Formats: sequence, C-alpha cells, structure tokens
Amino acid sequence: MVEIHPGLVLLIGAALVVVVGRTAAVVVGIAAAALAVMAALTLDEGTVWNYDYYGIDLVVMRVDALSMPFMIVFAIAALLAMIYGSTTMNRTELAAGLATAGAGIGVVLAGDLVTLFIFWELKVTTVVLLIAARSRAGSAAAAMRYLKTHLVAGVVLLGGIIWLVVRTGSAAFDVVPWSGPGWLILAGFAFAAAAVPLHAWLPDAYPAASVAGAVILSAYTTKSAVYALARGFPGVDLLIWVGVTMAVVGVVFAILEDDIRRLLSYHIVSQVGFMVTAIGVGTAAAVNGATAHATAHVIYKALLLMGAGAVLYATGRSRTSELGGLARALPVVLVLYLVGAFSISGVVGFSGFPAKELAVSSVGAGGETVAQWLLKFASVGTFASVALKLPALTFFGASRGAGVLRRVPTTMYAAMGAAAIANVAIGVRPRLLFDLLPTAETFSVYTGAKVAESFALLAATTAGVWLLRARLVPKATTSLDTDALYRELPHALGPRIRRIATVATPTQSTESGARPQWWRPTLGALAPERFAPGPVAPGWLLGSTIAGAMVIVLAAIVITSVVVG
Amino acid sequence: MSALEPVAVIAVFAFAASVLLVVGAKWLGRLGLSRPAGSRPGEWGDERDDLEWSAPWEDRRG
Repeated sequence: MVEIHPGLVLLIGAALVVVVGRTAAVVVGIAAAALAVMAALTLDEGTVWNYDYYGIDLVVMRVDALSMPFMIVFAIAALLAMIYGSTTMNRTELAAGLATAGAGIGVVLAGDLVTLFIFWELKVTTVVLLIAARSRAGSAAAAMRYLKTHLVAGVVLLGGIIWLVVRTGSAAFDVVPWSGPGWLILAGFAFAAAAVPLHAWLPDAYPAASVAGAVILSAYTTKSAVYALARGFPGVDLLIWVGVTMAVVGVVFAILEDDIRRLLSYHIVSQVGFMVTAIGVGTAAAVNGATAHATAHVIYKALLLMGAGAVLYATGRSRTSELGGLARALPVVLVLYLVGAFSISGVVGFSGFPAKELAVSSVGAGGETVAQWLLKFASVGTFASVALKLPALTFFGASRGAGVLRRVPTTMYAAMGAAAIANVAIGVRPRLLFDLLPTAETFSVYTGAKVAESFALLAATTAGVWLLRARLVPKATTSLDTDALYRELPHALGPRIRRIATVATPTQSTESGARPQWWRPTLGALAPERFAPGPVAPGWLLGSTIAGAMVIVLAAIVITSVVVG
Repeated sequence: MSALEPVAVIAVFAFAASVLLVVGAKWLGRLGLSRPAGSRPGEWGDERDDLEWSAPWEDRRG
C-alpha cells in the first residue's frame, strides 16, 4: 500500500488552487480533501517517515495511537469545509483553507519539534490569509491582530524548542520534561489552545472570517494545540485548573454575547477547557476522554458554525438583536443546527454524549471531584446558550429586522447534512469513536444512571433559562475581553500613544472622520488582487512586534532559568 | 441511597447553575463587560456586507 501524507496532499492542493480558475479551484479543493481522507484512512499505525536534515533526525510523519484520531477527523473536516464553502469561497480562501488543514494535519503527524514548529507557523500564516480573505476592513484588522499575537506566541514556542534541543540534544516530540524550556513550550501551546486569559484572539478572529473560513478555523487552530498538549504535557496538574477556568469563563461570555458566531467562538474556549482539564488529569482514560471530546468537537462545532454561517449567508446578519423568527424560512438549517447544539450539549443520542461523558467521568475518576463539578457547571451554560438561547433568539419569536435575502446553497446543506449524520452516528454508536482512541476504551456510556442524569441536567437547565428568559432579551452589544490590553488600553493612555495605537489597531473613525487604511499595504503584499497599495507602509509595525517578541522570549528564558532551573 | 438521589442532585445543581449563570453574566455585563456593538477599536460591528464580495475597502454599510 502506498503511504501518502494527508497533510501534504492538502498543501499540494492549495498550491494548485492558486494557479487555476475558480471553478477548477473548487474541484481541486474537494478532490484534495477527499484524497486526504482516503490517505488518512489507509495509513497504518506505526507508519513513520524520517528525514535526515544535516544530522538532525526529522520525523515528518508519525502515525500512532494518539495522532491517528486527530489526523482522520482533521481530514474529514477539510472535506466538509470544502463542500460547505464551494459556493462562497474565493480562491484565496480555498487555498488558505486547504493549507490550514494541511498544516494542521502536519502538526499532529510531526514526530519532532522542528517539524511541528514549521507546520505550526505555516498554519498561523495561512490562518491570517484565511481571515483576511473575507475582504472586509474589520477582517483585515482582525487578521493582523491574530498575526501579531501568534507571532509573539510562536517566538516563545520556538525559544522553548531551541532551549530544549540544546539541553537534551534531541528534537523528538514526546512528553516534554517539566523544566525551563517546558514552561515556554507549554505557554506556546496554551496560547494556541486559547487558555484563559490568553484566549481573546479566538472570539476576535473566528467571527471575522467568512462563513466557510470560520468552519475551517474551528477545526484546526485549537485542536492542534490540544493534540500538542496531550502529547507533551499529560498529567501536568496546572492544566486541570487552566482547563476548568476556560470551561467556565467561556460559557459566561457566551451567555453575554449577541453575535452568534462570537457566541460559538466562546464555546470553543469552553469546550477546549474540558479537553485541557482531562489532559491535566493525565490518566489513560482522561487522555482518551480529551481525544474523544476533541474528535467529536471538530464535527459538531463545524456543524454549529455551518448553521450560524448559513444564517449569516442568507440574511447578512449575525446578531441575535437583528435576527429572530427564521424557523419558517430556514427550517432545515434549524434542524441541522439543533443536531450540533444537542451534540455539544451532550444530549443522549448525539456525539457529545459519549465524548463528554468519557471526558468528565475520567476527571472525576482521576480524583478531581471539584473540577468534575465545575465542568458540569460549564455543561449547564453550554446547553443554556447554544441549544436554548441561540436558537430561540435566532429562529423563534418575532423577527427583529433581518429576513432571508438569498437562498442557502445546496452545497451548504450537503455539508451540514453529512456532519449531522456523523454526529448522530457517533451518538448512537459510540464505538465508532471509542475504537479510534489511543488506548482500548471499555467505558460504558449508555447506562440508566448516566442517561437519567443527562436528561435531569438538561431539563433543569431548561427550567432555569425559561424562568429567566426575560433577561436574555438580545441587545446590540459586544464583550470587553482581555484583548482590551492591546485594543483599548493604548487608546486610554493619551493622544501620543493613541496616535501609534491608531496604526496598530484602527478605530472605527479617525478625528477627520475617515477610516484608517493602514492594513491595505500589508495585505496588499499578501493578496494584491484584493488589497490595493496605500501610502503608509507599516513594516516597522511587524518589525517592532518581532523585536518585542524577542525581548519577551529572552526575558522568559532568563526568568525560567533562574526560577525553574 | 436511592437510584433517584443522584438524578435529583444533578437536577437541583443544574437549575441553580443556570440561574447563577444567567444572572451572573448579566450582572457582569452591567458592570462593564458588555459594550455597544461596534464600539471597540478595530471593530466595525456590522456584518451585513457578507452579501457582497467586491471592493473590500469601500464602506458598504450604506
């Protein structure tokens, strides 16, 4: 059997998309994703590709029990996203989407830290293009914020990798020794996993992408980091409380949010928190739980964002304060969205039920009872906001202004339908998921007690939300998050700093009333057909960001050398 | 312990948690966590221009 790296298939597809017309690009995108799925399904556990690079043994592909489920679900997600976006994505998006998927698979198959870092940063680059390819000023600004924040995190990660390789003489990526370089590598992974308080990039970036772009982002960015944490840091106690904090903070913000895609983005923070908590517990069952939850999450979160994207595509609006009453106009979107909502909420019969039960039970079995109850607390918030608040305010009640302006394409329905079938299939037959997990899993999910507890939690949550439904009347708001440090604080520090900050993070209007267009020349270099060049070259901005990142990593190395040794 | 006891415990817990989350989140919003849409630096607030794909640098909000 010929061994094909699924990530390389997608990267080659991305390169082809750039040189062909749009119709051909769609065909290439779907074909590359389908080929990647086939390649992923035919690779055997134990497959390794080595490459000697000037004496360093690079492992470009390592298929083992942990990387296998991530690789397969990443490939499936690429196919779903390509089908979903085939009507709406422009060539830049198609290429960036395929490359993001390819880089994500490259990360999970990397057997050494050098290869991992190369794919990691490739993913950051392609995600920036993917966000910016939506071709709106707000998206361009969000893309640049994503680039700058991940540039800093990437330098921290690279500092840790170099330090570790110099110290140990090996670049192999397995459990990372808990020492100075380990702290830096953990920080790099935790940032990409959207660990609180470093999470604000996620709800900033995802809703800024196009409807299909957000689906791609949801699959690869944080889940690659979850894989990296599961591989490198299982059983690190700190992660238990990092994860619990993510789970709870994510749902609090989600309940506040008006924009449906920002709401779902905060739920990614929350759900990844479940995975990080289980990784922190670190037992075989807990790592299985984290992997199961990550795998199911890729499918059901893709479905949720596809549903929200279909609403945005059809109406041009994504705020509950402008939506409402769409059930009659978009009944199939509602049904398919609810499959995703029931999955993420852990309703019996849907994919989140076995995945979340395994993850949360393993946390309790690992002796972390308080963390287990806090995760159940977060589960209540998940159901309240994703399965009750969002559909109630979007699809039911009176319309608050937005109506359906155009038909949802068949390709969107096809992708949503396939994702819904996958979610129900896993929910009904958990073995489909459990047989993929790193270690043999005998967890029995369909017991009377677990089913009864699940129904009790959902029914009581429904009662509580119904009681307070008047408090969930939507208002046109957005949430102040930790990104205020780099988006708001400079503006509060006076006119001199504000002038610099206006270039760093453009405001809605300048003093003259015109929009700043600093982003045009930068993105013009990346995608000249979409962004015309402007008079101000902000090269100094990226340069100063890189210099700042170097200062941070040097300081981190010095501090961790002294403190951790 | 009867078989229903854990179910009752989880029901009471979920009810209390849902009330706490909704009331708590709204309270945090009033404290300043929520801002008017489109008011933050680097945010334009209106998503409706997804209906068009051309001329990305033009203000298409009407």
